Amino acid sequence: MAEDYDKIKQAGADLIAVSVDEQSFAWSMAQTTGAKFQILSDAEKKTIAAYGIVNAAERDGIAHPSIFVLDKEGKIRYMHVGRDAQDRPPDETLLQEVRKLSAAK
Amino acid sequence: MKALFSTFLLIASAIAAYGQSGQSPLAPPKPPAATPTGTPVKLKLGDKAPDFALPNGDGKLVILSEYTQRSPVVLVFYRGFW
Repeated sequence: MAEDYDKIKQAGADLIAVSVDEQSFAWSMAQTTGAKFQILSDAEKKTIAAYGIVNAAERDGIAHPSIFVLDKEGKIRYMHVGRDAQDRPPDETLLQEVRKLSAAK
Repeated sequence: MKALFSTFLLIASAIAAYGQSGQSPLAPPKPPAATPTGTPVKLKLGDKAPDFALPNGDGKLVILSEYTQRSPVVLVFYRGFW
């Protein structure tokens, strides 16, 4: 994810990562990955509920691995709600979306 | 074959009868668009992403809209490992 961040940053966007893990987990993630992007804790699951991506079937409800690309108005320009951790869009797809947005200004 | 056909007729008329009463056990109303595990996806393209303020590892609150104001944002929801 750290490598992806560099590419995303280069393409002109920021990266924010959210999981329902406790804050301490977010902290250790940040330490171990040396992440330069924000890793946030949604331990109360309010945010993943607001996005409608709670996977109730797993561990009392965790997020479907999902990716949203937001423009500068905070509107969703691309979204992918994954079935599982393997179900991810190709990096290039994401980067194309980001480049479109940053070119539009 | 004939028996099969009359069975079909029987079912068809049963459906028709239920249809008139507005309830058909054989054709329940279509659920909203859902992920394979049945979670309804609330958001669609062009929607404003729900804003949030969540703590990072240092306990500092991060507000989504403060980031989107500055540049486009790739928002990733993950399950602990990527």
